[in-house]
Amino acid sequence: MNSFFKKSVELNLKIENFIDIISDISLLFDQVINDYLDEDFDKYENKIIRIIKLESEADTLEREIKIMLYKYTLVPNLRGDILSLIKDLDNISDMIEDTSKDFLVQKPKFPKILHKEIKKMCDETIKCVDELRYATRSFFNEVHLINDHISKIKFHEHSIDEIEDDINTKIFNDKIIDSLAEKMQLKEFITKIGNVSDEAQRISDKLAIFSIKREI
Amino acid sequence: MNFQVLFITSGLFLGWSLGANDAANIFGAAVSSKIIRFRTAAFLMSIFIIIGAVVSGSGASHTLGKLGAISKMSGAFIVALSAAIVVTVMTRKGLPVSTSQAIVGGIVGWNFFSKQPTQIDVLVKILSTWFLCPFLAALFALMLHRFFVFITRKIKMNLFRRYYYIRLGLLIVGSFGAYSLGANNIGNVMGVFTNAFQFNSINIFIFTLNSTQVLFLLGGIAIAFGVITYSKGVMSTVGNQILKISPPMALIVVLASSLVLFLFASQSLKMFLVSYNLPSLPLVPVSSSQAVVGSVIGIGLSKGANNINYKKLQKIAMGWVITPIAALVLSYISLFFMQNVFQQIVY
Repeated sequence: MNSFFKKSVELNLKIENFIDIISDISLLFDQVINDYLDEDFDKYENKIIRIIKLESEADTLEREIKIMLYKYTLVPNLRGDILSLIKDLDNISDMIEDTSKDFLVQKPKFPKILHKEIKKMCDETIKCVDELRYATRSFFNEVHLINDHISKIKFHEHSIDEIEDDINTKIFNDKIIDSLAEKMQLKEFITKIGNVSDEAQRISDKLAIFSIKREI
Repeated sequence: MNFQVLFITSGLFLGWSLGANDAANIFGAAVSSKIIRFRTAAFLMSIFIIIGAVVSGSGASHTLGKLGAISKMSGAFIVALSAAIVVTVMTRKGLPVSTSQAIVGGIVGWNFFSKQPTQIDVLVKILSTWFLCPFLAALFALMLHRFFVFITRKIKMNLFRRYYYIRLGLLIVGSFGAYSLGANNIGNVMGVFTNAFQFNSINIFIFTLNSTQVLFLLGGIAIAFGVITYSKGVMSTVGNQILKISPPMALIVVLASSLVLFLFASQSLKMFLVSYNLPSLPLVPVSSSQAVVGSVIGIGLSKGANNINYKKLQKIAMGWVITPIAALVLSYISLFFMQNVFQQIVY
């Protein structure tokens, strides 16, 4: 019994740690975009390096959690759900890492007029990932509170979709950019930022089902 | 003695069938969701069914004895066989069936054949338990569900720990369920033989088993044999259809159903209630499947769901009529054959 509790505490700590890393990555991502738009290139490069480091830490933790789940978890059904949740959360950190690297490599030129909206979009993305963090914690500790967070994720995701549409309309219709190639490039970056919250919403839908499965 | 053993084979067959079918009501959800291994469940069930049967089996079976005191082993053989055939045929046809209801029909068939009067008050008492059993199970499940929801919200518990306690709970409650099933349903399996079976007391270590307890031990072993040999398939196919619910809900369902079975079986509890002038329940074998259906409905009601499966309830009510009548007719005809073709004294 003691051994089980020790293992469950250890596993829980690892999962908590993993969720914190995902949250830190999303916070850094917001700072990266802000620094990039403010042309503070030294800062943003350093932050991208930190994101890459944290992502690698998350990968290591993901592997350790998987091994622990296979070794010690009692219910196969629960194990499957947790594994899929951890894998999906890791997708978010992968997405952020990829997008950050693309910023570093491609250095897209966003017209000043779009900066405010892009920053707003990043701000909402952070809120969305943060709510996902709370929802995941609730799933593990207080399952009856999960729906509050899920509805907030949906709310933020909807706001992000609206901002994304606005930015894309401006890119293609407001004659602020001349070349079509550049328009396509900027649209791709906006889509990539938007994909983070889409993924968060997809995970929250899964969490809703997982919690129903474990309802009393 | 040899004839006695031959005659109780129908009861043993009925026990085997009960073990094969009813084990799923207790450990079905836990085993099919792989929370508990089948081997562990079968081991616990076998042990506790036998203990329940030997220690507390006499209460419920005594009431069946009052319904019809079958005095000859050949008569008891036919009554148990008729019940077993009706249960087997109806199960194969996918009809709702309960061993408890089949055996009552069989006994009343014997009463008709032997021209013994059927005690109406006992019969009414038994019939009332058919309604009371799912009703009480629903009530218990409703209360337990509310309590569990309150507790889980009050005590913040990590998911892994919660599952650990649920597993532990399912093992404990499942063992209690097996004990209650043995205590309550041994009457179905061996109750009809108690008046006719004569056997010397035997000593096992420090325990002395009287004739009835030896009979119940054999019946308990037959049920356990049914659990070990056949219930695994039932749990993964037909048996757990009722119980396709989450593990915490399974815990509530099994606990509520086991409490009902225990209430209808425990003599000491009845005496305790009577001594405090509290209403007590008649000690009668009841259907564990119907207790489970009642419990699931109770949880549904507690969750505020209005989707009660009335078809399932109708089916249960249909079983209340068809099962005893079929067993009664079969028992009557078979007793006629036993007496006139095989020249056995059946009463």
